[in-house]
This record gives sequence, C-alpha cells and structure tokens, in this order.
Amino acid sequence: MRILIVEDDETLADGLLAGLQLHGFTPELTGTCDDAQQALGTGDFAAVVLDLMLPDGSGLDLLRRWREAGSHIPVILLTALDSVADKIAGLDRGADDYLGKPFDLDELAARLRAIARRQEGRATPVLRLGALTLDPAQQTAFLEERMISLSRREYALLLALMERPGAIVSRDTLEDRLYGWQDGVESNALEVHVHKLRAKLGAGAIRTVRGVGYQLAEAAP
Amino acid sequence: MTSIRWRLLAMLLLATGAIWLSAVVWLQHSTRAQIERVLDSRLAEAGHMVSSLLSDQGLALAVSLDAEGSLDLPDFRMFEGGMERQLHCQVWSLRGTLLGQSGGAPQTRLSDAQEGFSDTRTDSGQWRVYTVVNHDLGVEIVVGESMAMRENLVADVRAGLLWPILVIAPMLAAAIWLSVGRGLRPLGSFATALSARDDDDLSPVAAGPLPPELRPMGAALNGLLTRLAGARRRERDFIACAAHELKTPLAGIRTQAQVAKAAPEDQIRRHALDKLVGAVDRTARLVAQLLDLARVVDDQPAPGAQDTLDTVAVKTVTEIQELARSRGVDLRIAGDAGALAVNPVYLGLALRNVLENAINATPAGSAVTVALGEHGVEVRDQGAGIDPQELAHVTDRFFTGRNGKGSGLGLAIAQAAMERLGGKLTFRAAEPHGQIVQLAVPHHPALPPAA
Repeated sequence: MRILIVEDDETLADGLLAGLQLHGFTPELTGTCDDAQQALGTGDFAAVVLDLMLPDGSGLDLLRRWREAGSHIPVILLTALDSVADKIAGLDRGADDYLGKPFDLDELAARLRAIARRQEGRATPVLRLGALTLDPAQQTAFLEERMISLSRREYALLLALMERPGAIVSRDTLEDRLYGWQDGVESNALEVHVHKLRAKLGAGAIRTVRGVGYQLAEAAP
Repeated sequence: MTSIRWRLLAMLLLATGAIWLSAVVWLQHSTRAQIERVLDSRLAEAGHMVSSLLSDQGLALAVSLDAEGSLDLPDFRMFEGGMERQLHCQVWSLRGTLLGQSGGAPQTRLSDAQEGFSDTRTDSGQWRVYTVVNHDLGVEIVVGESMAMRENLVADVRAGLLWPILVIAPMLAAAIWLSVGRGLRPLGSFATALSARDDDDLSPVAAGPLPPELRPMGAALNGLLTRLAGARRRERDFIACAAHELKTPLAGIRTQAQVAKAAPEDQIRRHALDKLVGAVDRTARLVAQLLDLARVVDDQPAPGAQDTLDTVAVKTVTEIQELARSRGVDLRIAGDAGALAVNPVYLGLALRNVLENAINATPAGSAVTVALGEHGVEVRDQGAGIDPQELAHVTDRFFTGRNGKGSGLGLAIAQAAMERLGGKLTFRAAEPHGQIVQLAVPHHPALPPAA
C-alpha cells in the first residue's frame, strides 16, 4: 500500500517513513502543500497522512481543495491541535480519521489498514483465498494452519494480489505498490519477489499473464 | 478611606447646621434690636403717660407733694407671671426728693440722666431707664425696665429657633442617609455585576444603565477589559502555537523510538536513535527559546545593569563562534561603538538569535560580519536573504517561512528583546545577496569610567 506522508518536521517525517515501511506500507514523503498536491496528481496512493500546519499553508485547506476537486482518497490528519472542535473541523472538511500528536505508530498503521479495508469494501481484517489467508496486522500468511513468514516486499506483493482475488494486477501497479520514489527499482526486482513468493506458497500460486501482469490462483495445499 | 455615604452625611449635616446657626445668630440680633426699639418706645410712652396723668389731675404737686411726701401711683403690672414687677416708676422733685414710686420699685434713683434714655446698674440688676421732666409740676418722672426681661424675650426667640433643629436634624440625617444610599445604588449594582462575572468573562461592561457620573469609570474599565482580552487572546494563540511546536517534535521522538524498538535491522535502529537524539536536542533548544521569550516579554522591570555595546557584542560572538565553525561559516566582528551602553541581557539575547539565523542561512565558506557602530550593531550574512513577501512576518512567533527550518522563535525573541531595551530591529537586503539585520540601540548616558 502506497501512503503519501505530508509532514514538514524532519524527525517525524523520517520516523513515519521508517515506521510505515516496517509495517509493510510503501510510504512517500512530501513536506509542503505544493509538493503534496503534485504527488497526489502523479501517484496512485491508498491513503494520505496529512499534517495540519505546513510551511506553505494549512493542511485543512489542502484537504478541502482535494475534496472540491472530487478526490476520494482516504486522509488521516496528524495535528497538535487536538481539541474536540479541531477534530470536528478536520473531519467535516473531509478527513477520514484524526490522530493527535504525539501518536502511537502502531495505531497509525492499524488505522491505515482499517481505512484500506473500508476502501476495498470488506469488514474482516483478514484476507482469504482458498486455503490461503493473509493477516495485514501481523504481516503474516497462513496456508491452511501453517504459518508462512514473509519479507516486507513479499507481504506487499501478496497483499496487492489478494485485495482483489482473481483479478489480474499489472506490473506497473505492483511496482508502484512495492517501491517508493526513494527506492531504485531494478528491472527484474519484481520477478525476484514473485519467485520467492512462489517458493513459499507453491509454484502454481501466482500465475503470470504475459504482457499484462500477475494473478493469484487458489493455492493448492 | 471613609465611605462616601458617611462623608456625605457628615458634610451635609455640618453644612446644614452651620447655615442654621448663622440664621439663629442673625435672627437673635435682629430680634433683639426689634424688641429694644418696641420696648424703648413703650418705656418712653409710659413715662409720658405718667407725666400727663400727673398734669391732668391738676395738682399743685410741687408744693403738695413736698408736704405729703407720697404720691399714689398706679401699679405698672404690665406682664403677668414671671414678668411682673419688671417696670418701675419713680417721681422725683426737681430738688431731688423722691415724691412717689410704684410698688416694689427701688428707693434709690434709677438713673442720674437728665432726660431721655439711659442704661444703669443697681443692686437689683440692669435697667433701661427713661426720664421725663415735667416743668409745670416741677417733677421728674423716671420709668425703668429690668433688662432681664428683655434678655428673656430674646432667649425665648432663640429657643424657638433652636428646638426645631434638634428635632429636625435626626430626620434630616436619616433622609440624607437614605437618599445617598439610593444615589449610590448604581455603583453597588455595577460592583455586583462585576463581581458576579466568570473569571473568563472579559466582555465590556454595558454602559447603558450606568449614570453619567459612572460612565467615565465604566469606559476606563472597558478599556482595561479590552486590553486584557487582547492579551489573553495573544496568550492563548501563543500557547496553541507552542503546543503545536512542542507536540510535533515529541511525535517525532515517539515515532523514532517505536521504529528503533521494532526495527529488525541494526542500521535502521541506529538511524532512528540518531534522529531521536537530534530531535531531543532541538526540542531542548526550543524549550530554552520559549523560556527566553517568556523572560523577554515578562512584565518585570528590566534589569538595570548596563554594559558597553562592544563588551556585549564580543561576548556573544565568542559564545556563538563554535556554531559558526561547525557550519564552516567565517564569523567576524569589526568596528567600535565607543562608550555606547546597553542592557547586556537583552542585547545579548537579540544578537545571539540574529546571529544564529545568519549563520544558519549562510552557506559554508561564506562569512557573517558583525559591524559595531555608534547606532548599534549590524549583522550581515551571505545567505539567500529573507523573501520580501515573508519580511512582514519574520518576527512573528513560530513563523518559519517556506524553508520551515528552526523554531520560528529566534527573530521574535530578538524583536521583543530590542523593544525591551528601547531599540529597534530592522531588516534590509544586502548587495549582491544576503541580509542585513540592524539592531539599533538608544543612546544612554555613557558609563562612568571604571574606578
């Protein structure tokens, strides 16, 4: 899941970047309203973590502009102004969630997962396809009762494939989901991770659709 | 201070009493004059009456009186009660023999005066005497009236005037007391309305129901309340800003700490811990700046100590040299401000914050110069300069501009410190690039030479 972080404080932004990566997200970082506007126009993000006080304007104004432009992207506000009135103002301007600083990194990750779940229209936190289940909270997969440990990238890849079971997911979408701007993508990197995942789930688990992308098949136990 | 009510009561009673007493004195005098005039004319009339009475009887008094030695005169009981026997009559022959007298009259001659009015004193008191000479009969008629009676009459009039005072004065006092209380009631309700307010209620007092005399006080109070409300609003804004500025680095510290805790790789953990230490340092600096700001805007009187500008500038530059070195910036000091004296605390704070900004804005390898002169200090850097659009806000608290660096408090502290020492902080662009910040210092009397 690609997440856009809009935060100008260097330490917090750096911590969010590292922390969300640890939780299996693919975060991108911007520090100003202008940069955030630009990033949102070019990237396919699952959610935005938005600070309210930015050097070139208010995050609330930015959010209002997005909503006026018809964007439905889920937004979690981060702010030090955490009175009830501030929260109401933020939610009424179109925010989906609200976290007062300082906040818990795990809580932010959980809220991002919940937002993603709602976006996909499912209520259960665990994704299921045949004998394969994926728990985003633990970043672990189960084949029947057997736990399969996944690396960060393997988890992101499997999550992207499981979100819409049976659908063919394009290479570009998968690369977008796996890598941020900061990461250099080698041409065969995606294949490497697909290969590793097949080794763990079974050779027939991921089908290559030549020229289009990949599709998750119901894995045989 | 005595209450207005008591003071008004005392003043009004004293004034009323004084007016009344002067009226009594004046009336007593005029009554006495009136009574004397009336009684004198009666006395004269009585004298003439006796004289004509004697003549009408057609008596050859001069001889017969001498022979008989007595004369039957009417009793002059002019007044009943205590006033009787106040009027006496004596008939003397021109040769000096007492021919007759009214009952109870003294045996001695009442007056030695030849004719007309006279005052005399005998054993039986003061007398007002009128003497008539009847040449036809060869007698003198002497009519006397005791002065005590006149005094009694005047005293009666005086008492008639004084008694009402004693009766009316308490009533007057009560009336004054009540009406002053009623007159001061708006003041009381004004005070009640004020004391019934919430601590947070700084809204103006409604001037409508106030009487005109209280309106200036209401207006002054409203002015004070408006200023207080403004100060409180600024304080709230400041606290909100300070909370944001403190909570954000705290959020960073917490996030980095959680990353360090959860990171599986040493490299990520070390990076997070480095960031954490850096964030704690920056937060500590922010707290120090907040305290500096609180000290500068404090209402306490400025510490009176003075030092020469040169001393303060050299000391500050020396303290900050380490920062300049670590950033590869050449920090120089030049010029001489002579004996110009300043408050070392405030100028030190202002200069240090301006210098920090200048050093941070200047690329490594360039210079920041501190020029001392008779008008103060000029700090010149070789950075990009302040964006002209942001110039109006650089001294706002927590304003960091587009670059978002620093706490946004440095120039706010510098500005407040310069205001405290009566100086001025001004900005102008340097050529070809960079910023000049001038710290203009007011001229104080030069320091006395060190002993």
